[in-house]
Amino acid sequence: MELWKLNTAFKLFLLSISGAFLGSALLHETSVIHYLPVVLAVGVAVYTSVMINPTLRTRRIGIYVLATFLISTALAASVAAVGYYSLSTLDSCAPAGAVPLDWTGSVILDSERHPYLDAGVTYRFSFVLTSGPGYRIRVTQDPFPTPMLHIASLYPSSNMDVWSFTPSSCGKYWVELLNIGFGSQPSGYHVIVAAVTY
Amino acid sequence: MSETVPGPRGEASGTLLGVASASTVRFYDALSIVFFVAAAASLAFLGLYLITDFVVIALGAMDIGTILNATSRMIALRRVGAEIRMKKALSTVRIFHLISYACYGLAFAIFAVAVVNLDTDFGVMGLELTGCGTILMAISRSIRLESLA
Repeated sequence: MELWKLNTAFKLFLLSISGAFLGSALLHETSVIHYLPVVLAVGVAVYTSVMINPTLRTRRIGIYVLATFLISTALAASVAAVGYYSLSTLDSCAPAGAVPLDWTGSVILDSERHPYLDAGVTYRFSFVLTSGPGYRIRVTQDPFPTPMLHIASLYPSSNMDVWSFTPSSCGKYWVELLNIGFGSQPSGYHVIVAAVTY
Repeated sequence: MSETVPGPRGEASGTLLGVASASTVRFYDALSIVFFVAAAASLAFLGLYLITDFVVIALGAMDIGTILNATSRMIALRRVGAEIRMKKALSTVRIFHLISYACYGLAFAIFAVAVVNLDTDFGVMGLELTGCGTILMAISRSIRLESLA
């Protein structure tokens, strides 16, 4: 297979992985996302093998066999490692701390954190504007902006927002801050997410 | 480091041109592999951290890899004889068109998400994909015109 064709096929593969990720996240099928690294590892393994193979064939048969064995073993091990790491966390629900997020800083454009929250525990989200023109708050369950769990804006005139939330499923949640002012006017923030019933 | 390729002035300069274009093709091929592997690495991080910014990075790396891959193919085809070039150019253009349409299709879906959710990250992804499709279309056109010359 010519190299440009192989590259083109790999490009199509990477595009389909990106499309599958975006599609599954959009439909909130997060379990599909756990399998994508395994598919990606298999694809990279095949791409690497097909690319290296013609170079190996020009060597002596002993070197060819040994190298093929070593490469296939390394690739199989990497696929197994990725699969174990990715899929072992599929159904696990590690307990979150009493304060999953205590976050201070200043936002220039936008900034995000992903606290791990437990199912059934009530959390108190406290957002404070410490300086600057203000920021918008967006809390979601996954990388996509829908469904929006909480949205609010903080200004110097109203510089605090408190919100309580009890997740129905454990996992990472997205807390995103978007600066209202221009880049030259960063907004200072202090965000605390603390468990109320722990 | 830039390399000046002299114009066709006799056999010696023709050989020099052949050597220069062969080395350019090799360099671009290697570079495109690096960018495709970088894109795969970014998608691997995406799988671990589930942050959509990694898709933006991966699409950017894929774009550079695609442009280098297409350009190297265009240069490689110039070194092929006229009769074979016509046939090879046709199959190359067909494959490049396939990739372009895949990029445009995905870009359309992503732009729709960007507009519905007012999400700028998706706007960037859509533009990257549109850029990739458009550049491939332009290179395909160039290959097609060169094969007719």
